[in-house]
Amino acid sequence: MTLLTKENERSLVERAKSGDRLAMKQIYDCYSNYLAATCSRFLPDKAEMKDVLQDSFIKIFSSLDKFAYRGEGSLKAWMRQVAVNESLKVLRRRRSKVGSAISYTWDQPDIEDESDDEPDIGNVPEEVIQNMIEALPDGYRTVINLYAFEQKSHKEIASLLGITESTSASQLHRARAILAKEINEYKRKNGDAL
Amino acid sequence: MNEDWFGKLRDKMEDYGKSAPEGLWDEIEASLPKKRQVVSLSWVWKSVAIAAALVIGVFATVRIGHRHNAPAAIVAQAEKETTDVSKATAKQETAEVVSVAEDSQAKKLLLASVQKHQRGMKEETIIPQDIPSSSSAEETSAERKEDLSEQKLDDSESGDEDKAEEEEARRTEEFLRKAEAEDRAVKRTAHPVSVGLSIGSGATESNSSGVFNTMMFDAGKSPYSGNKIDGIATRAVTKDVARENIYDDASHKRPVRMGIMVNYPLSKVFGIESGINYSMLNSTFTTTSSRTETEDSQKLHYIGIPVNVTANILNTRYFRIYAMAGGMGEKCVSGRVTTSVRDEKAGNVRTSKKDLDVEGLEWSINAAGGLQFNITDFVGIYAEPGVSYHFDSNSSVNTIYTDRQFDFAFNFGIRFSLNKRR
Repeated sequence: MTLLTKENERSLVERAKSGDRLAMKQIYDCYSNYLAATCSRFLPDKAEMKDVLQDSFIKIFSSLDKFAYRGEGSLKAWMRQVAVNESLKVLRRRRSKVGSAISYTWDQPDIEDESDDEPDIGNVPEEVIQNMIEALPDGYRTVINLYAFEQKSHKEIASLLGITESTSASQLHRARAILAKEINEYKRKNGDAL
Repeated sequence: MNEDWFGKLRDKMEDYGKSAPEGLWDEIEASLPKKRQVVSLSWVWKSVAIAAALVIGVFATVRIGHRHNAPAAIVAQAEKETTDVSKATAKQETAEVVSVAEDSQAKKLLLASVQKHQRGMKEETIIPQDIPSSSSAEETSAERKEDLSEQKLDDSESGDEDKAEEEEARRTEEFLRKAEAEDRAVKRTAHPVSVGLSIGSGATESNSSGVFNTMMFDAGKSPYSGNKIDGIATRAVTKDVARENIYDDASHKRPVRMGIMVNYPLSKVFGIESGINYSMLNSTFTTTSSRTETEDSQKLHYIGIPVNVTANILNTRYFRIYAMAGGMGEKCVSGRVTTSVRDEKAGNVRTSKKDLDVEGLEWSINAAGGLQFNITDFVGIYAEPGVSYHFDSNSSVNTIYTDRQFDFAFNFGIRFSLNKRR
């Protein structure tokens, strides 16, 4: 990912605000991969991810005038916020299609719980971790995304997803356990390389 | 639970990117509203222009003050100009009205042919078509897309709103019928008494034409009487035969400004004044594709602060006739768009509403003639027909200010005079 320098980014935003397509394209080129990763952590299905990424960018460019540049990282954070909101919209829509209050009681595979063994992730490639997260069941994935990546509290997650705080906490706990187990397995298999 | 571990996970993935789907940019670009390319004047230049207008106003008033017969001369010249304008444009106006009528006719014919075509197609999928590159066309279509997607969300989220939607759809249909009737009414009112001025919109990519009907000059008719100041219908009609019928139509209602002004007489002849103005800008944008007709009804409320120089032409106990010139800064304080999408095939109308932010300030310079009725020595009510020029703002929202920068304006309100008039 090419990172923009501070001044570049500020002027790019200004140009994009005034409708400059080239500036928009540059912003897209810089952040599309990053947002693609963010969106697919919420929606691993390729077609869904594409739709939500497209909607996110349209929203980003059409509401740029509401964005105030507040230094390095502010554009990235704001764009990410938009993408997360769009992803959540899709998830909520999907839930309301299922149409029942219990649809957030996701499947809970049997795992040896309480494995406090938290593996070191330093050497595990990002792509591997990304794939592991994408493979998590919907509920676990959504909660771990909001908790670990978006740094939401269980209270916030509960209100965002329409679940209880304790559900959020238990989903997170299980998600972490699955991830830890898979990372450990991965490390065992690739022991020599890591 | 170890928070640290989540932190490490977050840091690890912080800069991770995954290739975005190929060709996505093209799709995004196609859906983006096309911004008008604006050449923004700096604040300095705007200030200079307003100052220049003030200076011109002052000089004009000084000249009026020096020449006793000036009022008559000015009125005569104004009359001459008006006559010239009407002479020069009367023909053109007729032509415009006819062409608009023809367009409507053509639209009907095309609609009919499309309907026939659609009947023939039946199961065939309709491929979404690009709107030709007329700026407002793209904008509306993009907005419509957004609205539609929001609509989808709404649909799934709130089934119990169906009733309300039906009611809204019914009202929209009523509104559409009414709008059509009004449209016809406007055409009928293009009688010889009205003064017409036609200005080409200057769009290069579409067969656009502008029709101005300044109904406010209709004899014996107060411009603010009735429920519409339906002065202006600017039409940017885009036709692309190869793509069946794609129309775009932007119609702006004449803004009428209400104001409370305080006038400070500098001499017997001229004075300086300021105050507060309220304007409502009402626009309707229509986009017709082979399948849907989208109408965006846009209402914007502006509060403005004008600074004017006024020059008395006649000042009696009861009446005051004057000329004025000045500048104004305006801010949109509230805005709303109601979008209704009429689906020809499904035969329904969906409506949605959203708030609209218009950022920045609108700057304009104005000149007008005014008539004031003095209620007391200090308070009077005024009516001011005139002209105004709006500078480009960086706003992406299309309004009469952006589409018709040079325009007729009609102000009325209450004026307080700080010095005793006589």
